[in-house]
Amino acid sequence: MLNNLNRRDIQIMGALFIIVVCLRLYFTLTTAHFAPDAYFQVRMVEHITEYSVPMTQDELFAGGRTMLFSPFFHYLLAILAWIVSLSMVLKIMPQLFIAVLPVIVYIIVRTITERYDAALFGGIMASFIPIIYAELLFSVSPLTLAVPLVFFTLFIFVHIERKLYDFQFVLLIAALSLLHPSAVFLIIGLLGYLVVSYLEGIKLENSEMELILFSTFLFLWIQFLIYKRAFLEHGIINFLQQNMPPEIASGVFGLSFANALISIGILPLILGVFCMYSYLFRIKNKYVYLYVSLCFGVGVLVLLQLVQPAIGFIYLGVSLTILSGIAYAQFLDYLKKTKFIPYERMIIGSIYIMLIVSMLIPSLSYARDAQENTVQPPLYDALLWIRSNTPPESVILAPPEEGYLISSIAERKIVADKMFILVPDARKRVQDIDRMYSTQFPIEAVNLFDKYDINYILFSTAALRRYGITTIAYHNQDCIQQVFAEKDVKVYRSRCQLSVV
Amino acid sequence: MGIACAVFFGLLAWRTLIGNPQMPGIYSYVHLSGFSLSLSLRLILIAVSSATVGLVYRLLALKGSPRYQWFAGLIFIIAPSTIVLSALFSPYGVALLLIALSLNLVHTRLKSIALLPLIGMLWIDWVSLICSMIITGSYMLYVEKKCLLRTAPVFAGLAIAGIIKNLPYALEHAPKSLFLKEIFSDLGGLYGLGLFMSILAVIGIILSWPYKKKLVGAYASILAIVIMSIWSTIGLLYLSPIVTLFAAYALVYFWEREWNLPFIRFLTLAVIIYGILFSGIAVMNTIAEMPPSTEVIESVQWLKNHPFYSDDIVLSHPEKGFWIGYGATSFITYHDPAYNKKLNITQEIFASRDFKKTIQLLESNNISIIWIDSEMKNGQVWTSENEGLLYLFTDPRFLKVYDTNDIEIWRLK
Repeated sequence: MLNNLNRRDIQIMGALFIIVVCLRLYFTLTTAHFAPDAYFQVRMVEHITEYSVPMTQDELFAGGRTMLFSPFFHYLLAILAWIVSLSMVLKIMPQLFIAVLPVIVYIIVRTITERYDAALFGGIMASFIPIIYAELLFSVSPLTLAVPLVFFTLFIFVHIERKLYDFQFVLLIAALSLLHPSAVFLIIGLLGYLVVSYLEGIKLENSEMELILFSTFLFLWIQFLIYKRAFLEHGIINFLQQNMPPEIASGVFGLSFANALISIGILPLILGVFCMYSYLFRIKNKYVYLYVSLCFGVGVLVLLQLVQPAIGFIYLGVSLTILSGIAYAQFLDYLKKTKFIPYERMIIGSIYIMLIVSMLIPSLSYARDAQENTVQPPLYDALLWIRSNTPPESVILAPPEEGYLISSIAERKIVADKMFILVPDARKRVQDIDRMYSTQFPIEAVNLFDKYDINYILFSTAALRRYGITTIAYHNQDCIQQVFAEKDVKVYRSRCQLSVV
Repeated sequence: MGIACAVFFGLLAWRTLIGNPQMPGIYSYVHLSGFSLSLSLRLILIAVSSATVGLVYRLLALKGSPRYQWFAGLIFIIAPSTIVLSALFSPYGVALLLIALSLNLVHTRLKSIALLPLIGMLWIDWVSLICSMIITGSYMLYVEKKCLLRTAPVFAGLAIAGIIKNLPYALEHAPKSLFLKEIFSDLGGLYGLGLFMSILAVIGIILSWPYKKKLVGAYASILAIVIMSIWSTIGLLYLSPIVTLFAAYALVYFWEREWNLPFIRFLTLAVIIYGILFSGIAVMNTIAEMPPSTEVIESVQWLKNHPFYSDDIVLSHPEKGFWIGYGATSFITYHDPAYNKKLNITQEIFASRDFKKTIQLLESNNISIIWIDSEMKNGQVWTSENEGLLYLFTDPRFLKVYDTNDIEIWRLK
């Protein structure tokens, strides 16, 4: 199919890519820092850049812990960082990766519908999926590469009979297996495709069966090699929920319909559901079933709270934009059969206005919010102060949301962050952090400080939001000393010790 | 047979080379009383496992194509349960040998006494007896239905004999974890199945579905043994050979079918074979590093040979009970009829920092020796130096009588 693209296609795809890259780079290059969660990835990339091997033991975690993660993305960025500066790689590369997504959606819709306008519509929609701006703008996430690759692999799967596509498919599956566990959606999509095709009485090609079999076994095997210990320690369900304590999991796995609507966009939801209905009950097209089954698979996993809704919505959003492109083509065909054909331009215009209202505006709004949630100067200054003015072996108390920042920027030990895999006392740690911030009793707090050898307490807007307090209740004790203050961000030093009299 | 011997001897060599020639496993030591830990005992285990492989291979030759025989034989050898039984001293290895012998006898002139070897199950447990009846029954259903009808009274007789003999449900009662974890060896189950082998077996069942009338016994036996395994994971040892057969069926199918993408065929088969091998090697690694160590056995032998302590009751973690029982008298083992009561006492003593109460508990239970290893000190019982009973060891009434290679034996004066 790629060979069949004409000049017009290439111009449209180029334009889509450039628009998305420019928009995303505008946000990232005008922002000094990343989102707090990004600093985990930053630290892993830095480690690979320095030592050429992934970090397996986290020394900056009080009590130590074993790290398990899929390292492909971090290696890729680390290799690029040997050529260009790391800060540029971290800011630019993820945006370039994710900007390929509208191009891939364009190609997929163009292949299925054989229409420019539908492909362009799908491509534009994929350029402005709100959740992608909310989650993948400042996060340096492996998902920026995993999401386009998953959909590109599905495209390759459909056209496997072409020369060298089998080789590309193998490379893509291997890369995805080492990139992010969410690539399991690809396997679910393929297996779902098998089931839906069987139910619809469509005969699958031998090559399709072979690819499904291969990708399932390879993906399972690689995940098992990487995460075997986590499976053993936590069990399958708890592993899927990343061993998150309920206090954190309720926020991360919480699901709201309104949030889903805004995150994905109302237009792709409506058009996507229409397309599903149409292809499941009226028209048979096995290639569309690939995306339908992906939608079902992701939807079920999100509903069962086995996958973070944010990640699920990203995949769901892209699948629905593909289906929307197909639905758009169907709609235009139908329009030609009606008396509304003289108003075609007006109708198309109103659809695009809806697209702007339901997708472009929320995307920009989410991008602004994400920008505001990046690390801001007072907090960044506090972290730099900690790095320069505290002993290297110090343990810093911070809410789990800021754990990555402490270990990455301040380079000091933490009690907990948002990665709980292979942390046996994860819930206890989070509860202890909550108590240390919210308790009114200095003795209780000091007792817990002793437990984790805590020397410094970081109080920032994250603590303010999480605990609804303006300062720690015991800050005026003699043994607690405020050593840094800038706006809402404070650092306290604790010299308190409990002794038996 | 050659490959089987190589795998089983390889495991023995592996464990010996890393400096631990002792018999691995907790339950090995239940059945070891009266045996000395000699090399000949290990060789007998390997001989039993190799004989089982030989009999299974012979059976496959009777009923399958040479390729199927070859694949099924290899998968059976590398199956986690086969490897485990070749290394652990357990009656279940013999049980599988007897079942294989019984199935082989069906194809000989001695058909009428084919079920005779199953009498041996009456000295093991209900799980083994029922599983052996299920396997032989389903095999006879596969070979010749009339044969099954003739053997029904024998099965009834065996069941009655089991009731009269008051067989235990299972000989091994280690505290159970999540069934999902136990069912797959890759997730930590000692007697579990290989993950890839199980996936292949599911595919094998789907592929063999057109022959469902002929294979109904095999499907039913899988279902029955899986249900039994929920109550005792020993059942998984008997499930493994059946799973192996279906896994081999799927593998042969993938091998022989015409692939549109030869490149993908090669890679898929490579991934499947690596996956199966990986499970087997992971189990070999687990067994090679499995306790007890030489130091543990030496400390127990020291107690056994000591002129004053050889008859004393020794307190330790229940997991060490059978090892201690190999040379001395352990206060608690997993097989103890009063296990729960003794577990409470053990936990109370280990956690207590109250000297009077601890002494009272030790004396009232006639415990005079306490056996501790580094595992107990590092999380299994205690997490810090001065926790619970460890704090009380500073009192002069406790005397350390043995301290070698992280194993301490304390005596109450």
